[in-house]
Amino acid sequence: MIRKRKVIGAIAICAAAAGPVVVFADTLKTTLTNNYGNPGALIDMPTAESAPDGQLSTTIMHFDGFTKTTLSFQITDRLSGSFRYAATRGLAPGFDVFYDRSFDLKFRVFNETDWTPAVSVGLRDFIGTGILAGEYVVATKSVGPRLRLTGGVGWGRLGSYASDGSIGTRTPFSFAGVGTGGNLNVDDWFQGDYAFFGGASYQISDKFSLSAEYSSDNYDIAQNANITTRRSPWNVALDYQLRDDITLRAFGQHGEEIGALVTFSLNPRNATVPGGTELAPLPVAVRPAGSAQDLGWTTQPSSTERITAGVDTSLDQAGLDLEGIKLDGRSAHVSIRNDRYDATSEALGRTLRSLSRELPASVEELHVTLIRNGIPASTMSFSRTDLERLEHAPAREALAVARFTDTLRFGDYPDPRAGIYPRFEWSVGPYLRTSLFDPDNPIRADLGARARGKYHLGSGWVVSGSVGQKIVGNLDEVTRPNNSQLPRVRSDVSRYNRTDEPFLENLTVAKFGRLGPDVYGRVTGGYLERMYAGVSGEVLWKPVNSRFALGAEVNYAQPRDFEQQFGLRSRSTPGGTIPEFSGHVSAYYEIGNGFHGQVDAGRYLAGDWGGTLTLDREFANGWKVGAFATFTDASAQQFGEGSFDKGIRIIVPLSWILGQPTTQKAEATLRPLTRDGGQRLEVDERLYETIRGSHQPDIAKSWGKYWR
Amino acid sequence: MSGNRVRLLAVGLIAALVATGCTNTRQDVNVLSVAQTLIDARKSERQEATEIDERIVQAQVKKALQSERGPLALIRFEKTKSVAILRQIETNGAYRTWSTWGTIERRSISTRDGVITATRGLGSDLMSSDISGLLHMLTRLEDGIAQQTLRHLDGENIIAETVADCAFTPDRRETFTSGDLRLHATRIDVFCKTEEGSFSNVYLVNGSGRIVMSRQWLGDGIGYATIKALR
Repeated sequence: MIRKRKVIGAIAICAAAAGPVVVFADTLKTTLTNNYGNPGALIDMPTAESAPDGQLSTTIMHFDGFTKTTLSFQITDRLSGSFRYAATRGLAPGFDVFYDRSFDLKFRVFNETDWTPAVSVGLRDFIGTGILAGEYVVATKSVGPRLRLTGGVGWGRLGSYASDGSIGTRTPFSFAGVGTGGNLNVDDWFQGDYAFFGGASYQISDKFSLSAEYSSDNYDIAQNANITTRRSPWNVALDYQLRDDITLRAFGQHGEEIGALVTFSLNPRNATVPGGTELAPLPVAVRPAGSAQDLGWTTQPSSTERITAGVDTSLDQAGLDLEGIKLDGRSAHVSIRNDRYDATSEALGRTLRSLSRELPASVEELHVTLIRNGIPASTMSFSRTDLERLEHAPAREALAVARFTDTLRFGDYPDPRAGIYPRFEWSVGPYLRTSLFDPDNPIRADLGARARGKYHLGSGWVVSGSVGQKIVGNLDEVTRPNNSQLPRVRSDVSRYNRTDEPFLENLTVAKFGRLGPDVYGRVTGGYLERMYAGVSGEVLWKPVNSRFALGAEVNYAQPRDFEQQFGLRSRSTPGGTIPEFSGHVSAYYEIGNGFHGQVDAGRYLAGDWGGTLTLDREFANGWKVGAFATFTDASAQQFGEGSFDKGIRIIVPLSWILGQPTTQKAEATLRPLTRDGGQRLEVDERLYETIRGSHQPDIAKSWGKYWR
Repeated sequence: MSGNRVRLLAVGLIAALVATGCTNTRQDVNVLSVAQTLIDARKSERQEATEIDERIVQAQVKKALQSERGPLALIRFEKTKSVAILRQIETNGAYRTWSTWGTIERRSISTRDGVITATRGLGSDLMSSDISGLLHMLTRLEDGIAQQTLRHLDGENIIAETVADCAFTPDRRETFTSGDLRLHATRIDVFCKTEEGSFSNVYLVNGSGRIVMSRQWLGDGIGYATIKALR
């Protein structure tokens, strides 16, 4: 009898669930990458498959004489991008190994349906030398859960074998025509000979999958250089999923070659421990009914000191610093410094929890001002009644009642308590400096020790310095001749790397300030970075609830001695005189859907005028994956190899790895080449990134951590 | 779990890039603490969860009942096989917040009428829950269906809601013995379906409608936990 009733219950559930359940059309996801490092299960040929949104993978492929290392990122659900570094032995006359950088894009135009395939369009090597250039339209259809069939048409390299026809004309590739590379050869896209290709992949088990393809890439350049022979258009591969994040592949290509591939992948959306492992916050203390009327404490002379001490201790235990506090009968205003929580919402939540336990019951209005570099960045107000009411409610309800105000608009904020300033911070640790993509040795690095100090004097005055000492490394082995035709503002980096003495990375005095409501200012003077000394001034307009900001920066700079001690060197270089002034106006915009854009326009270090476009995919947990490109009036000829400055940057919050809150981040900028055009001064603590984390749009993104 | 492995791979590299050796600030991550995380993660991958001797648990329960005057409860986590005695540290309306008795480490859970609605400091915490429908069903002791919502932080720190449709099936009455309590209670089996899967919770409700025991699923990360009132 009992059993029967259970079954009835279960059936009822199924019936109830059937209504709202969305049948998710499989949009052909894969974590496999092909020999080009693009998401897809085939070998050289593309598919219409996509990686899971946000997936970041590194693929290293090798077969006799050919090595490709590719970083791929699933930029959106439909769009993926790849950056590749290819090394081919004996490919080009005059090079033992020919190194080449290239970028790809792939966009899924149509999702798969029950009856129609997914269709993607892609560009390979669309902004490099064009050695790998090819465009394609490809369709992939799953047949059952294990089999996927792909067919497509390709141009360029992908139209080079058994061409079925031709559209328009395409400039044939030649090493002489490479020039400085880095051009968008839009006129050649989807032009010239085209050919059909196809393939299939089959998931044998959880760990193994098999794929086979008919390739339309004839490897013309390599065959002409006699470094490979293509006997067959058929390629096969066997993949083995070693771990969730590592895939190994063996493949046979051209009826001739055997090769191997390894893929490392991760997804910023999968944190080590979602929500973190930090200890529990204090529970909100709820005031007994009627107690809020009691203002007796305000007449006791010592009560303010007692309360301040209590709040200070409580915040300190939460890893926060109480800079100032202002109390009256009905409201309390604290200013805090948050150096621990990368999610500002968590710092705010923990502050309010502490306040609920330490403040007299009559205090109803709670205000928290976030202090950054000694200046107020925003004020958040929350009523104590709401705090008590919403502790166990969904976080969005708390966000709806939290008010963010520019501190200057809000009015007064608490003065720093006695003993808060001056404050000295120091740290000692290792550093790693790398040089990538030098044809003589594609990976070089220095490891050393670095000591940093920061002296906060109050009112936004900060003195900071950093000294380093190389311990071991080979950055000093760079011997590439510098042939830059522009003032050598960055291309002399190898000379800076040659010092074996202790070096002064930077030594600056900075003043941060509020110039008015929504307006922030910064002036930094001294040894700004390893290559330049000077003065940098910046103004930022950023309303506290706005996703939009504007800024302007003017810099006066003198090049520093290569030894990086206190000396300066002459501004004249073989490529021209380094100008004294550079500067930009900048616009920042949080586009939404996880994207952030920045446009800078102005005068760059070498005196070239132009603009930089930066687009980042920003994850709420602090991960950022972005790309930037700078176009200036320095011609491709003047700029040299690469034609213009561009690169990729990745920011990894350490909390994502550790599962513990920390504001520490690892940042890597990957430039195919660093030349002299489109370069800017590297000044620490530019205003936008300093202020932004304290403003509503950024806090709202990870608001889920408010009650954490 | 894949997350752990990804972490192991990434930690070494990133540690070298950003972690500092020593510092007086709150923001810097110590190289040693990063290394520790690495070692801990390795260990936890190898270690099998071991059952704690029931006699030790009961001895601790007895000690807690003698020394503590307020409400006490016992919680067991099935995944880690860990057991903790909880004491109530705060109340907020119908909600109670409990923390581990006998340790100073602050990990807490919150309950409403004996049902866990939130956890803190356990990793993959349950951030909040809607259980109004569930409580209504538990007091009626009848067959029926109600919705329940669980909220967690996802890998991006965004709240992810799991809405479960749950079928309630009152079962036999049984004797419930726990700490100072010895009473008769009705067992209610609850089978819940979510978009991604299903889970089976069990509650014991006594004659006056008090939920004295609850075995409930708290999310993929934590798994099942059983909380029993001790007095």
